Formats: sequence, structure tokens, C-alpha cells
Amino acid sequence: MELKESLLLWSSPFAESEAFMLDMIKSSGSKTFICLTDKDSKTFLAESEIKGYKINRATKFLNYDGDLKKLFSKIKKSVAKGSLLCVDNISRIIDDHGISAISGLKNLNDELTVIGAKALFLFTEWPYEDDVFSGLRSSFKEVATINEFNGINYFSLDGTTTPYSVTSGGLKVSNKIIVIGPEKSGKTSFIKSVSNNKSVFDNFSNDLTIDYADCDEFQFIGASGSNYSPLLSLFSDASSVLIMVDPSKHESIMDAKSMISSSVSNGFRVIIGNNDFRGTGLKASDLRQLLGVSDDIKVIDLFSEPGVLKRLLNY
Amino acid sequence: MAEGIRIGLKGFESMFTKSFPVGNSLLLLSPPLSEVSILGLEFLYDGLKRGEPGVYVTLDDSPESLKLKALKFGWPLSNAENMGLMRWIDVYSIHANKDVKSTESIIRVGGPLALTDISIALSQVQAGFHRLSGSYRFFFDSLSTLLLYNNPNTIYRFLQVITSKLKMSNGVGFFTLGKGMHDEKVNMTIRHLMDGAITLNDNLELSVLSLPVVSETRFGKLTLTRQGFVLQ
Repeated sequence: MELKESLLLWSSPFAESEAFMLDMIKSSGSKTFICLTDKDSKTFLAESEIKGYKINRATKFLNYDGDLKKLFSKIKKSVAKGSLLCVDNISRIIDDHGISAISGLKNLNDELTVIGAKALFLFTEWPYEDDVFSGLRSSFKEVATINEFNGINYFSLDGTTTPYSVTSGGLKVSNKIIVIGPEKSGKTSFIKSVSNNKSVFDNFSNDLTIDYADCDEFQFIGASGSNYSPLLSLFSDASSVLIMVDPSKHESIMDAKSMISSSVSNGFRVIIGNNDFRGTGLKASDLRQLLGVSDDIKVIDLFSEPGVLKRLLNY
Repeated sequence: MAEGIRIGLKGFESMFTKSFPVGNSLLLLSPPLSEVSILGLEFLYDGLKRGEPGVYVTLDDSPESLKLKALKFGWPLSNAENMGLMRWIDVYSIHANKDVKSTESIIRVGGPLALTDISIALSQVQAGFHRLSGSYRFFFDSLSTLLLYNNPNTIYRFLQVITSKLKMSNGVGFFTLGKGMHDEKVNMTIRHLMDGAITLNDNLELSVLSLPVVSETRFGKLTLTRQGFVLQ
């Protein structure tokens, strides 16, 4: 996962946020500075390897010994344009210096932005006073949250939630994609067509049949008919929802609109599949207009484009 | 859902009643260097014999030496480790510069400053136990070491989060705190965060300060025998 701009990574005390930081360091390719506040670099390096990440030798560690002024001065001397600074974890700094540390961190972040460096600040949400939380929220432009539930971590940014787990091979984003869509939009056919093996189905209840199919490392899960709501709650650990739309049906467009809004409000990343198997000639761009969706929702032609699946999975 | 655990330690029935409700964290105030770790090992082993999972969070000793200590009393823990019933969170070894790595049963944490890592480790252990049993036992030894490295307010916040997670996940067990090591305000605030408190003096005399259940006995004397502690 790539860091686009400086970010405050706000995590619950039980969520694994360090793996996220390691993944961002790996993707950045920038000269990295890591400031550790609650462990030494040797321990950090050993833990990183267990999580599947090898820290580049060029990475520099900046010590924090409780003296915030000294730390800021070291950072400003070291960090240059294009570099990445990771502070793991600012909760320790807030513990030591109280709310005054927040304005210091904000100023530091502003200065880094001016010189063209990016920063990632990890924060653990211990039960602080409200002014700490509001101070942090107002001081950082980009705030992502990480929560944990039943052993799965959920990363949320800009209203989109991505479930992931931490393995010895690094951070693994959930491989589940829920396939929903109005009736007769081609969900089951799609699932069958992408499956590496024979797809299976499960009569979950009298009114819900779930289709499963494995495609490379991904798992597609769909429900027959238009009964999609249970899927969104049953598979809340899915990474995305693919909404299949048959553009030849007006009512299909209307139903798809409510599915999009329901999926987005449940925090899922949404992909819309233009399944023009009846050959109307309507393209993804036309369907986007018909549905009136914003640019951050991907609309792709499922039927006509070669390699569409690859594009879908790489999204 | 699990309602309570039976504490099978000799003499403890009258103090803890036959079924002690899960979801409770008790503070065990004891003089430094008293053998509370043996009490912790015995408490966990008593649960393991009944198929109840247990986690020992150690800040003052390595799991390896604690296992050896348990073995001397005839409490083998390896089988339970292999079955996933016994887990350790080792906050001691790396900090003590031992060249060790985490194993299937031991999660090593960098040191007493790494509170987030301790809470993540606890969460991982709890998730594993959840698949095996409705409740589990824990022994956290000791809060005094955490307080040596962190300021008290940081530890209060940590405990607020941890005790609530233990409650929700049906954990039951003890946090130890060295008697006479911290000022009264620290002792009282930590007591306030717990569901009950027991104190132990240099002569191993035990008294109940508060418990979440009615206990017939509030005082007793512990004797360490070859088979473990007996409360008289």
C-alpha cells in the first residue's frame, strides 16, 4: 500500500498497525527514517522479519529518549525532500508531554510537507482525554483508522474499509470479493466463468443461496437473485463488492443504485461491472453516467474487454 | 456462555466460592520477591487440568524458567502448550537481552514500554482461546515492572482497555502489584480499575480487600508445599 501524503494512522490498542507501516515503507522506495518510541531498533528489526518485512539497510533510526525538542531537531536535520518519516508511536510522546506534544507534531508535519517529505504517524487510541483526540483530528489532514475484530484488522480511509491480516509473509488484504447485482444481471454466470475450479454453492437458508468460486488467490462470493443484504453482513471481511449491472434493463439500473449506496455505507470498496451480455453496445463510461457515480468508484466492462478480471483484481 | 470457573487450589474454595464468575480481574498485592509466580502457575495449571486455556504475561522472568519452576511442583505445561491451551506473553526476555524468538506458544514483546504490542499479543491469544473454550484464565506478573518504566497515567489507560477486553472475552485472573513499591494513590487507582483485590504479607498471610462475590473466609495463611500452595 502506497502512502500518497502524510498520514496519521489511528489504531485501536488491539489492531496491528506496525505491519501497515512496514508495508508502506516497502512500497515507498524512499529514504526512510524511523523514530521508535517504545522499543529499540534491534527488537523492531526482529519483529519486522517475523511479519515478513526486511528493512532496507539505508533506513535510519532516530532515537527518542523523552526529549521532544531534541527529537524534532534530529528529524529536521536528517529528513530531506522525498524521504519518508515514520513515528512509531506518537502515543508515547503524548504520554510524556501531554496535549502540548500535538501542536509540536503538527508543526513538524507542516515543515515536512514544505520540504517535500512524507510522514506516517502511528497513534494508539488509549482512553485519553477528549481534547487529545480532537487535537489530533484537527491537526492532521489525512487520518486513517485501524480497528480489530475477531482477529481481522480493518483499515479505513476516506470512507472505504479494507480488511487485512498479518501473516509471516507480510500484510495480506482480504481475498474475498462479494458479487451482487439485480436479478438476471449475470452474477452466477460470471462466478462460474472466472472460477479456476468447479464453483460450489451453499443453500444458506430457504431464501439465500451463496455461490463460491476461487480465481487465483481470490475468492468470489455471490448470492442468487437480488437478496444481497445478508452477504454484506456475513462477509464483512471482504475487500470489495462487485456490483453486476445489465445495462439493457432500466429497473436494473435503479436497483444497482441502491446496492451501490448500501455497499458504500457499509464501508466496502465498490466496483461496478458493466455486464453487457445482451450486446446493447453501452460502455462502462455510459453506465457511469446512467448510475451517476463518482470517479472514485471503478466501472469496468466485464463482457467485452480482454483481461478485465486482471484489471478488476488489481484495482 | 461460561458463567464461572472452579478454583481447585487447596483451601481456596471458601474464599472464592465454588464457582468464581468469569470476566473478573483481581489485584494481588504482595511483597516483592514473594513466590507469587508459583501461585500464578498453580492457578493456570488448575485450569489446564479442566481444559480451560490460560495465559501467563510475564515481565519479571522468562517463560522457560517459569516452566521449569512449574515442573518442580509436578505441573507439566508442554502438553497444554501443544494443544494451544497454554500461552505466554514474554515481556521479559528481549528486554533482558536474551537472544530469543517467538514460538507457537510464546509471544515475545520488546519490553515494558511496548504497551501496544502487549495488548495486541493479548488480543491474539484471546482470539485463539475463543476457538477452544468459553472462558480462560490469565496471570499478569507484574504491574510494578510496567510502572517502573511508564508513568502511572499511561498504565491506568492501559489497564482500562485491557481489563475491559478481559471482561468481554470471559477472562478471569490476577494482576500482581508489589506491596510497598508504589505510593498509595497509585495502589488505590489500580484497585479502582480492578474487580477485586487480595493482599499478601511477608508471612504469606492472605486477606481479601474486596471480591466480586461473597466469600465465607476473608483471611488465611498460605503454606507452600511440594504440591503447591495450601490456604489454611
